[in-house]
Amino acid sequence: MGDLFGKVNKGLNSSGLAGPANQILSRSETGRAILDPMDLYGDRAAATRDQASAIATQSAADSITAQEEMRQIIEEMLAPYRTAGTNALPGFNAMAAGGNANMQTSPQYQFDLQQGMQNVNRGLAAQGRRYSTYGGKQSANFLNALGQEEAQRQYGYNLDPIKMGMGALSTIGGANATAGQNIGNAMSQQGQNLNSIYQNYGQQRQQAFTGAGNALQGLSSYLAYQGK
Amino acid sequence: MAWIAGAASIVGGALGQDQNNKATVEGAQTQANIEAMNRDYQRKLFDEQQANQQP
Repeated sequence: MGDLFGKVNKGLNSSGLAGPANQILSRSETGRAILDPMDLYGDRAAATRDQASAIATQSAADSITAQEEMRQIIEEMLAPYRTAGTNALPGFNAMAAGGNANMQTSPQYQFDLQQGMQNVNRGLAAQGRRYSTYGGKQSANFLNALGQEEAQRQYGYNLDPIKMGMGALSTIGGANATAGQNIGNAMSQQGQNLNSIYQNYGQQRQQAFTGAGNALQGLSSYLAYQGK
Repeated sequence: MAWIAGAASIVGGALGQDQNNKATVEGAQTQANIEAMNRDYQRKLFDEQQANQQP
C-alpha cells in the first residue's frame, strides 16, 4: 500500500499540492481573494473547475492513447499472418472453382515424380514392358495419382494460410472490441469526473451568493437592532 | 462588534473556498494518478501476455 500512496501522491510538491492547485492558491492569495473575498465573480471557482477539468481530460486522453497503442501493437504483430491469408485466397478460390490457380508444382511433387517414374520404369523394364501399352497406362496411372496428391497438397498450402489469416483477423477484431470497450469506459469515467467537477463549481457559486445573502441578512438585523 | 463577526465570516468563507479548491484539484490529480497506475498495470499485463503469446 505504501507504493500505492507513493504513486498516487506523485506530482504533489512540498506544499502538498499539484502544480495547478498551487496556481489557484497564489492567485487567490495575491489577487481576487482581497478584491473579491467571497468570490462573487466566481474567478477562483472557475479556475479550479478549469484546472481540475484539464487534469481529468488529460487523463482520459492518456487512457485512450494507451488503448489505441495496445490495439495497434496487436494489429501490427498479426499483420503478416492476415496478409498471408489474404494472399492465399485467390488461389484457394480458383482451386475451389476447379482451376489450378497458376500454381507451381511443389519441390515435393518434383521429387515424387522423379522417384516414382524411376520406380515405375524400372519395374516395367524388369518385366520387359517398358515401352508397351501396359507400360504407358501404368505411367499414366502413376502421374494421375501424383497429380491428385499434389492438388491436395496445394489445397492445403492455400487453406492453411487462410485459416491462419482468419485467426489473425479474429484476434485483431477482439483487440479492437476490447480497445473500444476500454475507451468507452475511459470516456464514461471522464464524463463522471467532469460532472463531479462542474457540480462542485455550481455548489461553490451557490454558496458564494448564499454567503452574501447571509451577510446582508446579518447586516439588516444589526441595523434594525441599532434603530431600536 | 458585529462587523468583526461579518469580516471573520467572509475571511472564513474565503479560506473555506480555498480548501475546497485545493481538495477539488487534488482529488482530480489523485484520480488521474490512479488512472495512470491502472494504465501502467494494464500495459504491463498486456506486454506479458504478448511475450507469452508470440507466434
